[in-house]
Amino acid sequence: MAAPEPARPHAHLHLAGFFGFGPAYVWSEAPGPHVYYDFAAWRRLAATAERGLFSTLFLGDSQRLREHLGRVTDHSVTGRPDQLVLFAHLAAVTERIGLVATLNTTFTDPADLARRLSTVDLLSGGRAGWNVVTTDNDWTGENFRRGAEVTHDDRYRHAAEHLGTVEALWSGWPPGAVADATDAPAWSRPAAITPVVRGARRARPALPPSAQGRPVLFQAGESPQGREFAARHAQGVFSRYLRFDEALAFADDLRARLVRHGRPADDIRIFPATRVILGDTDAEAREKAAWFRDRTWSERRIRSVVEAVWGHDLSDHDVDGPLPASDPVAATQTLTHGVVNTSDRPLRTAAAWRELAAARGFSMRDLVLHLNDAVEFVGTPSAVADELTRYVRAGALDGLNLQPNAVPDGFDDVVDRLVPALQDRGAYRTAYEGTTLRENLGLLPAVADRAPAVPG
Amino acid sequence: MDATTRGLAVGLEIDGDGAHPAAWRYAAHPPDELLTPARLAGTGHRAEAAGYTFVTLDDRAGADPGAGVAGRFDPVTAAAFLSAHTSAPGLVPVVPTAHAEPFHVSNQLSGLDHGSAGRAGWLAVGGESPERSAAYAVRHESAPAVLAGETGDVVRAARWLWDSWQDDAIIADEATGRFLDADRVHHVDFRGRTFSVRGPALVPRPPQGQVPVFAPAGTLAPDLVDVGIVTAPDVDGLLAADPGAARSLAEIEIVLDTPDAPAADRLAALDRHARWPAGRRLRHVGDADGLVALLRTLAARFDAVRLLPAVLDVDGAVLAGRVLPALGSLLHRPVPGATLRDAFGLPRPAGRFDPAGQQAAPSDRAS
Repeated sequence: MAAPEPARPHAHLHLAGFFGFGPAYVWSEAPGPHVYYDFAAWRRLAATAERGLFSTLFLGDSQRLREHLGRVTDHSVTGRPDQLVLFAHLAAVTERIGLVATLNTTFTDPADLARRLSTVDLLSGGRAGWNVVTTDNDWTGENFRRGAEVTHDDRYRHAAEHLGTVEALWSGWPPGAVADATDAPAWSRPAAITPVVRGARRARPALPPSAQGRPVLFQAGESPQGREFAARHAQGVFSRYLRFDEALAFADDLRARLVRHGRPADDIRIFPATRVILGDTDAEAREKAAWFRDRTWSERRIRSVVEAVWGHDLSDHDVDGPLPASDPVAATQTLTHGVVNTSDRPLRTAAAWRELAAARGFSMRDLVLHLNDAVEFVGTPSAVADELTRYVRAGALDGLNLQPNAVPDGFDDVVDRLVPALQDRGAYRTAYEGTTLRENLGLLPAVADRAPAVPG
Repeated sequence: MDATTRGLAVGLEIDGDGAHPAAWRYAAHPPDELLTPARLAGTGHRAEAAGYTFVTLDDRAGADPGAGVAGRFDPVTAAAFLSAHTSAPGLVPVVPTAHAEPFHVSNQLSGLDHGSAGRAGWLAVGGESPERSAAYAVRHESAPAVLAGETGDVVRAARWLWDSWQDDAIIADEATGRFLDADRVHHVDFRGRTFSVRGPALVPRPPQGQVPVFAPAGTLAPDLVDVGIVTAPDVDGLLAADPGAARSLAEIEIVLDTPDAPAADRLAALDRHARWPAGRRLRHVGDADGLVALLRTLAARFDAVRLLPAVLDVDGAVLAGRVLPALGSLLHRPVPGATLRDAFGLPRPAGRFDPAGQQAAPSDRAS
């Protein structure tokens, strides 16, 4: 029986070079441990990604170093230069690749953020993007003046207000407002650049629009409110759905929401985060993936996942033995300090883990690896290209937020081996379509730059 | 204290089209090409080729709401762009302290220092104005003592954050599975008058250890400033002023003779478009030789000068062609690989949490 015609038979896959805030690397194999903070390494990664025609780089974020039991997490690489400082630097040495920063609305002023993002957008010739995120924990707020608590229900409203101010500032400087000759009556057309007044805030737009108008907006929440936020404002989504059926269901839901907001269904690009591990044979690729997993899940890191729930040091416990017999020391745990999110219920989490471990005969190591089992694309270049082509043509995703397994050569394999295989299948570009991120993602102008299609 | 051995550090201010509000009318490009990567990169390349020790990036956003230049890049972000286009000059952006998040300010400057391999500096001006307060939707404060205290707190918090990773924090010890030593990465728990910061910073200690801080003389406690900026309307005033810091810098506004027109005529023509208020800074209106003589005089007393050309494209060309070459060995020409601290003869300080630094630094985590 012939395979059914896919929903998008000519769709191309987008690749994004993705860097989370606490990435897993086999740091003992690095050319030197400072390479992770070295701008030369970032330049090398960006150059490789651009050689491989990646649509963009994409940085995840945290505004506080991860902690474990009250101290800075020590088992993994942590910390990263200020994103827009890094991107301004990379804008100078790249020509086509996008630069998407994850910037928090809770701890930044909208006028400041609008200006800094526009600076990168202009200096890159229209290649900037903003992944809009909010934070609702006091723990991160301890680094900021604006550390005031925003409740979960309020945070999308707060984010929408913040984004509204940023968007208004960007809209306040129309194209063509600046004179094109030094003998013009004034530097800019009188009254063309309009201040934004919102409550007590009165701010002047700082910069003109870029070649792509304004930065491309991304969104990263998966809750219903997050999806609605994306459907109203975003043209890119960072997701975690990678199993085919889940990915397709998420994409279909999101596209339906776009249509309800008067937007074309394909006016958004969905990028789940994953890894790709290639080998000459399937067995070799699986061996490499197992090596990477075993080396990045050190005993210290495995133990820290359990310690984060139990609330105390477990260094006298064998990770190949059972979970601790005692109960967690605290009934509550502040969120997001470590590597697990226990939803603030350590006792409940511990009970669930014990039940799972008993049912499956799991040691601490088995359990932690099971909990962190992620969908990755492992195989020969040809097999991975087939699989990714299936995903993108079915509409289950538009691109991958690809995490490199190493610095600075972590994209070499994908660029040299997977990209040609995708190109052979007609599922990947052979040249950049344009010079801006918006053009290279094949997107319409920003939502805020269109006439409203739906009243209200 | 003077520049006789190291040479005079000469800085060029590059914001907009020049210091004069009508500078854009004499720029070598149309107004709509000012805010472009080609223009900013070209400015950086020319400054590096001329041999400037450093460039400063002022922040006059919103300062010329009339007929003047209405758009400005964010200075620290623009400096980061220049860090990839240059390899020798220091990069000294204004990062305002008023209403700013000290955590962001510290990380941005530390990122610039990493990206430029130790060439970052910080022009720490308060930036307080009713316009800025309105943009941040906060009540405007005008009492000088309160503002000075606030600026001091932001600088002090940033300095603590820069030291929050000890120099040897990254150990990559495979035997224990530790990438870093958590005993060497510290919460700073800084408490200022209006904010507190927990820390630590988001990146390891900057290459210079501490990014050198440039601040107007007398605005901050001496231990917070590396380079004190002296401003006076005449040479005697400059020579008499106390920089209030280990290193001193004099500011000079520049209007130079060109083959086409004497400086005074150029200034008059510029002023017919928009007035450039005089009387705060020393202003040299004249020929290149006169400026060289002035710089030689100042070099006996100052470590550095900051030149603010009326028109970047016009006065900058005379500075590069006539003035800097005439300084000869008096000019501190930076070399790739050297840091901005090197250019000022400032040693790389031990961190506040390093054993050697704990004795040196006062425990000033609260004000």
